[in-house]
Amino acid sequence: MNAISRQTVVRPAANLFHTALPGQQLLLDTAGHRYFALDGVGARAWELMALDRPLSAVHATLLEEFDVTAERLWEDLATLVAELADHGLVDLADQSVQPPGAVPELPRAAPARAWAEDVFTSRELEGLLRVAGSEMGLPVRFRAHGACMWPAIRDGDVVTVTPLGVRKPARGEVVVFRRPGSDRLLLHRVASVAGETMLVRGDNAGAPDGVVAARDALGVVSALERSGQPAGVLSCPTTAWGKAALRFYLSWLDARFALISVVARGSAAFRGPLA
Amino acid sequence: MISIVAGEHGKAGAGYYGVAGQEVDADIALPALAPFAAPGPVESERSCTVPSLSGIEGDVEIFRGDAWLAEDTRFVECRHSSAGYTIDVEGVGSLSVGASGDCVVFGGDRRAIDDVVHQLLLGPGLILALSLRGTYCLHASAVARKGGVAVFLGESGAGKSTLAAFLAGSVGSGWQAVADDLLPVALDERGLWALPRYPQLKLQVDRQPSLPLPERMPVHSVYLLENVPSARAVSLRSLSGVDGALALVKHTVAAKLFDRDLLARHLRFCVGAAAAIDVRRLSFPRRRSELAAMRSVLEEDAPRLRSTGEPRVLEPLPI
Repeated sequence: MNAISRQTVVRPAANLFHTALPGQQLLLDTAGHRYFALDGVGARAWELMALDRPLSAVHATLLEEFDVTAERLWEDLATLVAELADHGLVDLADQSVQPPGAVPELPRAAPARAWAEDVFTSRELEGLLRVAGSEMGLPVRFRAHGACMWPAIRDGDVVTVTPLGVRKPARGEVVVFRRPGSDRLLLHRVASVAGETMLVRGDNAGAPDGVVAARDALGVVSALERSGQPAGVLSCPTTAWGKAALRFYLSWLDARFALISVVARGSAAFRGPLA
Repeated sequence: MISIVAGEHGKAGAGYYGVAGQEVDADIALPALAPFAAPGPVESERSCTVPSLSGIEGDVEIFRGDAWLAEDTRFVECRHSSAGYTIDVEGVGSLSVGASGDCVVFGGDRRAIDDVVHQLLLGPGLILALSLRGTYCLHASAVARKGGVAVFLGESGAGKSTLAAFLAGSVGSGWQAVADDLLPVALDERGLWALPRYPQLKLQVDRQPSLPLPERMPVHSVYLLENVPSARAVSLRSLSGVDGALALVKHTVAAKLFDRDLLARHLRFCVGAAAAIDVRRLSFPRRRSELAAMRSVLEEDAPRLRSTGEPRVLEPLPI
């Protein structure tokens, strides 16, 4: 096996089928009938690795998106890659043979400082939503920014936010709200509603944002476009780092051969009619 | 249409059935399918031609080992090639299933069709054919209320059948039995569907719950039953997308026989199904008196189709 370096390109193995769910990746080793899952940090790392870029680029993007030191991030990333390789889920190649610039840039979540370059400040956006949205009942379109709602909402998608009026947000809806104790507006999904409060969380975030008052929801996402003119930017914060754990679920080769035993239980019932 | 070929002379139209949303045309009468008999063509034209699948270049072994069939342990070998599957069962004969699931052919001694062969045809044979056609069989019990189906998954002995029987037996509660052991399901853009017309092999032919039911019914919820002896009360918790999809994967019958393409299609199905409906864990202390509490929890848990607003966006899934 190749040593893992910053030039290593991690590619899904030939027998691997992988599919994305909100904030999660499901990996199926079709040769071994084995299922694995990656959550949060690991799922995001997998998505970036699957773009055929060297680990240095994956590392750079994750460093911008998560609240973690470069050293800790590299250590965890290399551990995850080694574990994936040990299970035969990925092939490791050396990127140095490829000419530089031959592959497209990674989609990257801009760092928080990009706020300064936006059309509107967070305060202005909030004011716009309160006046145009809540008071006038008009939907407002914004460009979403960041990876914390991936894959439902992606960096650069234009969302239409419709005021809620007197209605409370419902579980599963994506709402715009101000993060408690900060100026930042967030666009995250309602995980649960209890009385006058709601628990909010990004689909791709490691942890919920916490409990906020339902009345602090400025509006709910009612439409989504992947092209269109931006009117402003909604950001998502860097996300807390967590250990990228590969979870092993089950292997059909180890499982009891249940098929025929299920049928066998019917034999007594059917002996009569068959005789 | 799925053709089942097992008769000595390949006589068409001996049995014609509507099973799990599919027409099944068998050249022998299959008593277990009798409740689902349908008026079919008298002399149907067979489109099913099954080449000899053994020894085809490129076939791969899927399973080889002991398996349980008709109250006996038998040596089973399952192989797959581009033409389909062959399942050899020592002492019984071989079964072939065409790659598109259009035919199930018994390749042993056709003069000696017995109970064991019937089980081979209706178990691995028909279930594999249905799976190849996008209808997967869950090892589950199920009940319906107000037109929507609640599906119960769980390990053997978790209480799936007990709970379904209790609900269906609760007079005046509106619950109706749908499945006791096997539930075929299919997915389309409108959601997940139960296809109750399938023989519940643990029950007598004349006691099949699906007889008065429509051909397909919307699945409103899937519950993974979990016995937690230390639990104080019955509780319900949503599973994440991965956990929900894998609960469906794990309780799919015959997945051990799937080749790599079918495994991938099946996983895509389970991910789609878990996105279309909520899969929740129903934890309960193992006391029979909890059955009433479970019924209350389930009745309060009204059909919860995905909430309004933005539907969950699923990625296209390249294989």
